[in-house]
Amino acid sequence: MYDEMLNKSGKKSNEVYRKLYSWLHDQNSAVLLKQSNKAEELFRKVGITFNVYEDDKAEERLIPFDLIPRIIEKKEWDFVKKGIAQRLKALNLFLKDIYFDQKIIKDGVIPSKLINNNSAFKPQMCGFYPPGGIYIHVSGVDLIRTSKKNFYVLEDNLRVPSGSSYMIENRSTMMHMFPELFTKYNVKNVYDYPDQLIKSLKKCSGNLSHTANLAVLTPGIYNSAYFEHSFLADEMGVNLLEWRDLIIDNNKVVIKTTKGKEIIDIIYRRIDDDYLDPLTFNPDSLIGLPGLFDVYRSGNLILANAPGTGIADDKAVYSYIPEIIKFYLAEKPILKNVKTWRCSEENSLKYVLNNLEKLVVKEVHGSGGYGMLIGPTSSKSEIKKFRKKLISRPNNYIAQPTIALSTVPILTEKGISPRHVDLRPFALMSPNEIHITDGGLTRVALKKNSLLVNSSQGGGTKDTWIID
Amino acid sequence: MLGRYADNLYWMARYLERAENTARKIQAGLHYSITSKENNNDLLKFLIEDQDQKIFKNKFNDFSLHNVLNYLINDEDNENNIKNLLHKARVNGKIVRTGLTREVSNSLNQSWSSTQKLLDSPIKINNLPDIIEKVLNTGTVFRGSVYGTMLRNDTFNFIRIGTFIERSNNTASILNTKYYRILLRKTVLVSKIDYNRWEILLRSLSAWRSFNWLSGEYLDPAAITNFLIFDERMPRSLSFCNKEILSNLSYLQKTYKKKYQSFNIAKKTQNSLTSGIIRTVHNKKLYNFIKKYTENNENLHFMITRDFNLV
Repeated sequence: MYDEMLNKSGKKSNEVYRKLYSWLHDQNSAVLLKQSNKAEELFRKVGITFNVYEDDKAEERLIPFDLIPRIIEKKEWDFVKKGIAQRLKALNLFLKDIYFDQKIIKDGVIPSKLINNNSAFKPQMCGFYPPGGIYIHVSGVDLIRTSKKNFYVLEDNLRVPSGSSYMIENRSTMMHMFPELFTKYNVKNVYDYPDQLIKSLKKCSGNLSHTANLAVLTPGIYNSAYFEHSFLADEMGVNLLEWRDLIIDNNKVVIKTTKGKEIIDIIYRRIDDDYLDPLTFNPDSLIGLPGLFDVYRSGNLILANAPGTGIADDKAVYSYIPEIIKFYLAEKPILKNVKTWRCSEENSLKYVLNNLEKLVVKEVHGSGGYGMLIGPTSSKSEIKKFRKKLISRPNNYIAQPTIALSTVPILTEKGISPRHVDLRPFALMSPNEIHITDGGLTRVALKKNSLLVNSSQGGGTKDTWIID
Repeated sequence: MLGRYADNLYWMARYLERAENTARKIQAGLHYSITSKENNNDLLKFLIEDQDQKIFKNKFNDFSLHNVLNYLINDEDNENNIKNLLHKARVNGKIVRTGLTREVSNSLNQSWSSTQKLLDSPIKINNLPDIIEKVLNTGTVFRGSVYGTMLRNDTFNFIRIGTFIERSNNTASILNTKYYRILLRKTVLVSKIDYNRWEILLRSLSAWRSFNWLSGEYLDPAAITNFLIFDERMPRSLSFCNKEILSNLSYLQKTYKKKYQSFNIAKKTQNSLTSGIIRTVHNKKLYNFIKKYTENNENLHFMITRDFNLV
């Protein structure tokens, strides 16, 4: 198991953590715990909460924040950035291809049914080239680390990834509480993310770019990520809209303001494809704007991300990403892919069923850590139950080996102790650039030995420092 | 600004002001119950709005302090209970978070987390001072942070308009209670009981001290009425409130470079509040005056909604 702070002996700190390590030793742990409560109060005051759905009840909770920062050296970070950029470039080309010629299928690299029978594939996007050629405006690739140099991509998250607001708020909290720590390290800035987001989105609108009117679209205040939606709108200085605000007028999307009507050119939507337009996507949807997609296809609106990007972060497609990178870029993948068994294939299913207690099994379209099995930490009866589900719908699942995610120190009641983490950097794609903010969201499993970092499953977050 | 936003800002301010006004009423009622030897619960009756009397009577036998305060604070049959009002203010505030400064949204979140436990039923009289203080404090911190940290733009205007429409509605409705009118019938104060009644009325508007300060010990009904309607020094008088509404509407006209019907209504009301000082207040004359004022205020609310695309 790889700990990012301590060396193999567990007694000395790695070079990059040295100053933090000695600082931690100088602190009184009771004082630190008090600071930790202060941080929580700060989050509550600012209203940084998310909603958890359990038994039909939604509850407002805080994401626990751990105050020991995670540190990543610039050299390693540059490697990660290069890897993410490569991946996104290939995936954007992949999207363009499968919504036009489907060359990758014709060349036999990936099977047709994987795409054309997949509910994340949106035939409505076929033959439509989104403005600027960009599908994946915003992404949050999830990475895990197994050694100093080994980074794996766990999920690509190309639909509507959350977390950028926490990246920024975590930094604000740290600067508020431990300003002296920032004098010890040259920490890269994360505050320019909203500014980069607005610039990057406007660059897709060609001639319009300077005057383009941008807005954020949210499902509303009860959405689990509402805090983030309002945070980003606020930081960008744009309207935060709900469905009821949008009207279609003269083939344009229009809102009613206190001064009169106003045209919206770019919508950064934090809503799934299926709920965008009931006339085009899910006819049973009670939300969405009928006719929105027609405005989009006539070029009078930019939607970010473009509808249909979900096919590229589909968990079954994930296993083909090394081939996808090779096919479009003729390059070797920089970041590793986790070995994945597609349960839709007979041999793989057989292997998975025989090794359930060793594997992690995920739903192809699942997210947030719901509906998955972690073999090594599950009871026999849990595995038995899951086996039945898997046999009845094998197409719905993929399996991966259980990987020992790296650990970093967190503050607990009993002192400092290592916990498993992942990392979600945020990337913005515009016609000539992929911008990756120097930082990200580190999610940490707060329970000892747990590998579940999702906030809905008891995970917390940390500030992530990229240092020069 | 999005029309729906303006609506949320406006109602956020109205609900908070309403919660605060209710807390003041409870404070006055509590003060009265503790200090008065008079054993007349009916006096607490006026703390319940005329239109709510029926709902109240269906549920409770009498207007005891316990019943009245539970009704006003967290009774589920009372849509305007304090708990609900603070909740609605926060929901509206959450929606417009992007338009508020951090200080303003913090004030809403803090009031929410600090009052939630206290407001869970049932309410104990011992907790009352704490509840009242927290609710009044919420309003004060909210207004203070709006005033001290917000840009003087349309966001500010819609918040202020909401605050003062609600506040003037409250003052008008107190002037319009049966109690107030019964008290006015007597031109001379005859008993200690009348004195108590005027005190509770003035206290519910936080006007007891300032009135005494301005006019000495003498509680003349006409003077009280003039004070609550026309005195521009008094931040809960109709005149003060309407002046604030008018100045914010005038600012909106300037910013949006348009003329608005709502401005005209407020202007007309302002004329009626500066020209016709009522020297002696007859029951009927006051009643008509307040009735007209309340109608105008409703009309004003409607026009603002239409003029600025509020939902």
